Amino acid sequence: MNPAVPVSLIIVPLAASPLPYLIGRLPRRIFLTPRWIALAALAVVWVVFALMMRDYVAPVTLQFEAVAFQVDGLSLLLAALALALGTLAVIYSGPYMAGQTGEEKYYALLLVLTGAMIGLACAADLFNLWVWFEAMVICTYLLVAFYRQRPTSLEAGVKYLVQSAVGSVLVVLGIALVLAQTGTLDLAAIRQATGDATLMPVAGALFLIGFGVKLAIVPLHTWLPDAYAESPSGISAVLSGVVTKAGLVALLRVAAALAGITLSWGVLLMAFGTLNILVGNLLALRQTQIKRLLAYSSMSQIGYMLLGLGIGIYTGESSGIQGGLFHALNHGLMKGLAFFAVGAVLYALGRLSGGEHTLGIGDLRGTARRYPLIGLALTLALLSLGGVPPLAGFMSKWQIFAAGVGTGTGWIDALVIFAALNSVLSLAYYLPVINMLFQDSSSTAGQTARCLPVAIVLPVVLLAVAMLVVGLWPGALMWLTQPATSALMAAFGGL
Amino acid sequence: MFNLVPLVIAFPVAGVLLNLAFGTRIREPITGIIASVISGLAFAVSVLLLLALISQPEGAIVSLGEWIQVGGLSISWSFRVDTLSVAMMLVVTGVGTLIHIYSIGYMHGDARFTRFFVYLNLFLAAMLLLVSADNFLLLFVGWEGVGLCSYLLIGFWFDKPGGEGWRNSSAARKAFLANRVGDAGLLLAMFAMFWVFGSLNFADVLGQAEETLAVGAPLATLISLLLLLGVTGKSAQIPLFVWLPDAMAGPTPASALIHAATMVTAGVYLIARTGVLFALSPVAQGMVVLVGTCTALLAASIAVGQNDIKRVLAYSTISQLGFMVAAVGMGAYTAGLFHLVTHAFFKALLFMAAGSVIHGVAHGFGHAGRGEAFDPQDMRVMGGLRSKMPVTFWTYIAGALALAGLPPLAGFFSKDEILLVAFEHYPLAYVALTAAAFLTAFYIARQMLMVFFGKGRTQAAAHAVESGRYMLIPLIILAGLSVIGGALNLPGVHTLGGWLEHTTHEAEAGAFNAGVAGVSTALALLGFGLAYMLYGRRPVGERDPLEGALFNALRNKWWVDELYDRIVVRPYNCLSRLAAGFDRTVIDGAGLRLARLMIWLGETARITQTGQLNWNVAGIVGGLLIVLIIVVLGRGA
Amino acid sequence: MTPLHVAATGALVLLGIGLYGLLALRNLIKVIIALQIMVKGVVLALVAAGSISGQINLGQSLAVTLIVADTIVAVVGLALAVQVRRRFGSLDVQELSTLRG
Repeated sequence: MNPAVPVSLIIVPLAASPLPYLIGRLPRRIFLTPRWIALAALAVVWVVFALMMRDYVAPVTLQFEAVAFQVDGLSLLLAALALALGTLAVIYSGPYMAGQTGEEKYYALLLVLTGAMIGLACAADLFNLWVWFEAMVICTYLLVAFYRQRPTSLEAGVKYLVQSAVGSVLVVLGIALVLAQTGTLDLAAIRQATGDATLMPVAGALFLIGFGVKLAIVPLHTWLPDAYAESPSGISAVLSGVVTKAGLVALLRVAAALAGITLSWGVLLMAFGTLNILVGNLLALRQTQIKRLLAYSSMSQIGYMLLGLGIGIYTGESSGIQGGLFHALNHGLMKGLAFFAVGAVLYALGRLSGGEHTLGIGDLRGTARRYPLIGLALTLALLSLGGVPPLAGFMSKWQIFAAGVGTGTGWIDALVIFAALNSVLSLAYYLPVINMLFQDSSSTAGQTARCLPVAIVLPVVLLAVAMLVVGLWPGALMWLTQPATSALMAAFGGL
Repeated sequence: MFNLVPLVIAFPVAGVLLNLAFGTRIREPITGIIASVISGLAFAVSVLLLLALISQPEGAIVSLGEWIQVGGLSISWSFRVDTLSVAMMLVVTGVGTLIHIYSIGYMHGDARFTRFFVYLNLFLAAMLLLVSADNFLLLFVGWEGVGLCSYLLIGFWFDKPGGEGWRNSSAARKAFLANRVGDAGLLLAMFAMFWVFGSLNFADVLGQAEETLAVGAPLATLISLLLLLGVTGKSAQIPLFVWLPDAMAGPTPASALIHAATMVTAGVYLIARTGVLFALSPVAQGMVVLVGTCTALLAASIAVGQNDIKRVLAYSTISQLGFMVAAVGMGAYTAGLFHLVTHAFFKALLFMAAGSVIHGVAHGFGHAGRGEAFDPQDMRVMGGLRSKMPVTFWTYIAGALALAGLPPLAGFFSKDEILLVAFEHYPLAYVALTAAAFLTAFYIARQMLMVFFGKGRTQAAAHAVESGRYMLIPLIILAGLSVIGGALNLPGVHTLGGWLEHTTHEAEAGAFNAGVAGVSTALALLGFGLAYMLYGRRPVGERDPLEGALFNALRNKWWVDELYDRIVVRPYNCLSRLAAGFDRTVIDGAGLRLARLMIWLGETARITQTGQLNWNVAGIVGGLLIVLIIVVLGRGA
Repeated sequence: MTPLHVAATGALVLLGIGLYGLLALRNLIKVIIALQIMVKGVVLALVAAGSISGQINLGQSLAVTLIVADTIVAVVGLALAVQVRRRFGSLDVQELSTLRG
């Protein structure tokens, strides 16, 4: 493959990112708005990505001095998800963010964020991985606290920043340990090297916790509901849909590099996965704000991913890993859809400019009658999150459970049963929301609601259709999950 | 060309989506026209498939990709194009299109006009999936889909005032429940087939059946009998036929399409499709013949005692379905399917003509305008409509004569072929079916005389008017088909037989027997004569000329509903009350406690989300410590 | 005690101080300073790691990169702190807890 292709996949969004800002800063408004510039840049990235997929046969490695990139199945999976949700978020934010101060920064940051996530996906050495991770995180600080005039938004931003920064410090400390022990930072080389029997596992623990902050594993999750609920809905969708997965990919890369030396990652991932499923569900159970509810539900969905990946890594079977990655993709679709749909209601209620930004479950009353498409899409997303067949979320959970039962190990069976019961528990908070959507009378706010522009409806419809297709035909995403699974299996040394 | 088959289903699905999305924005007839055009497109595709099959009669299997893959179970979206499935597609889309057009007129002014057409298109999609599926699970999806549409359409007027809405929805529930019993049989049959053959694909199951199972093997009998249970539900055979008469609560076009022409014949199709399995089990075949024959006779007798115009036709449908089931039970698939096709023509015609009559009488009632209670479907209020509604009358005559089996109309040839096979192999069934044929002629003549002849017995009948052209044109087309439909499979030529032979394993067709044909024709004429003696010569009042103990039994449908109420419904209700008590106290009690526990846990968990930054960082530090401890302790492992 | 030991110990001490600060301090500015102290400890650790593994150049270049990245974080953090002071009228992180449950 022409090395220019993978390089431009990363470079284009980064190089284009100043443009929306500069255009937005022009003294006079011109025909090109920052949003269109960002969309054009992303369109170019899509073309590059398509070229990439066309020629992709095997992992490609690129070395620039000390900086190494590797494009493999896992990179493509994360890149695809980042591009898809990034693009939809840009489209969606047009009307949603219209008139906000700093609109031009918003689009510039979204571009950098997308580029940084693609870069992270392709990083092949530890420090490179951390740099992209840090770039991604810094963008999200700014985006989470985007509504600077709103106290709650600031509060969420501060907590998110401090906790992420602590996690980041732990990651670098782990990098220092690995460097001291092995003398290299290349992920493939680390796999071959041997280090101190105590210090290397400690490094592993530091990575798990450091990246775990972004993954929101319990008990590092406390920033998550604030950040998801307080950021603009487009950003909530990207945060929940991709950024957590970027954390997951980073963790998996490092875990694979340390697979030979240290602790059984599989067991740890399964343990944290189960814990996340339970705590996420419990926290969501009595939640009355819809965006916080969705945030907590993300925690429990991340738990399912970890469970599937843990099962796969523990047993060395590909089905668990594939299930986990499949669920990661599906969660990107479902949660992106849910946040977009909720944001649409927020938009319709005119809650964006007035400073008030919370949406209680009661405010959704009668949405399905006033906005049938939005109501239906949100219903599908929630049912899919709850694992109701034949929707996408069911298919990937099913694959995870099947992988777990397939191991024939008693305690893994128990974990699977526990996770399945938790799926039922999750319906206890999804269904009341759906019930509210279909209530006959509109909420008082709903009666004055305005019409929804195409740019807001379009991402919702696209994601809903994608979700339905994946549910009816789970093989539709195989082209992404299959190479990613084999890449991960290879990284873990075939196990 | 065969690759077009997914379009047959895709078109109606597109129609559903179109009308769902834009139905509220466009005016009334447009949605109906969209749905009709969609249905016509599906018909056009079926015709293309037919043309392709003529040059390549072995057909093909078109696969769109995997659907479910779990363990050994592998289900794909694959469709089967062969002579059997295309024949069914042609009937479904052809008759379906005519009924769509008719509905534009019939449903005019209904508040839920668009919804009706969405249901009709949805039904088409499900029915076409049923007949084109290449594995039992896909077939089952269609099977359930048509059941759902049937339910929705029977209860379409669920909100009519004065208790009628409630009766309509009760009828819908009854249909659904009776069908569920049958569906359970089909599901169990599928489980058994998967257990025996390890697959649900037609090719695997039907291809291996003869090698895997010996003739008379208990498993073959079990599977066949379970399939038969499914058939009795969907095709309204003894013992599950009770839902079909009540299903007449739905709008008449729905009755014509679903409860006469297409859906109820799905059972006949299923037996024809799985003929290999039935052939392996003489016991099951005998049961099928028995069920079909008894149903044919019982339902025909009940039809004699009904006064509701649609109920007569409903029992007639059950009876005719009995003929078809008996035919396919005897292994005479061509005869069964031949009768299926001709029946689709003349019964759809009769229903739609009845709908036209109801429309006309209801209009007449509105014109005469007196406020007393009035049922526009009661034949006793009609009479003399011959001159008021001439087109309806003449088309009705065509349908009725075809149903009665007078030569040379379509019903004569198809019914005769069934009787012929019975005559040669099942003498008892032959006698019973011939008796049923006689009753058929009698009740349809009775109906014609009561509706169209004599003088109008009420003001409403006297002021009835002919229906509009949307309704009449399909009637005329179907009347033509009812007259000439027999040409499909004339004795000695056997076009349909030769066509289906590529797919089914046919017991060879017997030669035309003038004796059998003569007897049934004579009996039909006798039935007409008898009806004329009783109903034609003097006006029919409140008191039926047949009044008496036997007629009372017929009118009350042999008290089958009451019997089921005693032996099934009431004991079941009793059991349910017991179970409900147990459920409320024990199960719900436990559930409630569990729910309270979960809520308490949830509230407790929320306390940990303090919103304090220091506490949050403590979470990170705590997590780090825990993992470090695990790692350091577990490092040897 | 070699210089490397000194560096490693120093790094751990700095990390400890920073962590304590994060857990105990209530003033947002102080919290950010505690974060900075932690990062400085890690910078030290990186340099030491480079030295231990004989990759001094690598260790140092990493340290420089980290300082750059960290500066951005500090700037963003302080900017947020300014806004917090403006909107909440206080820098006390205990009062910054309207979002809970």
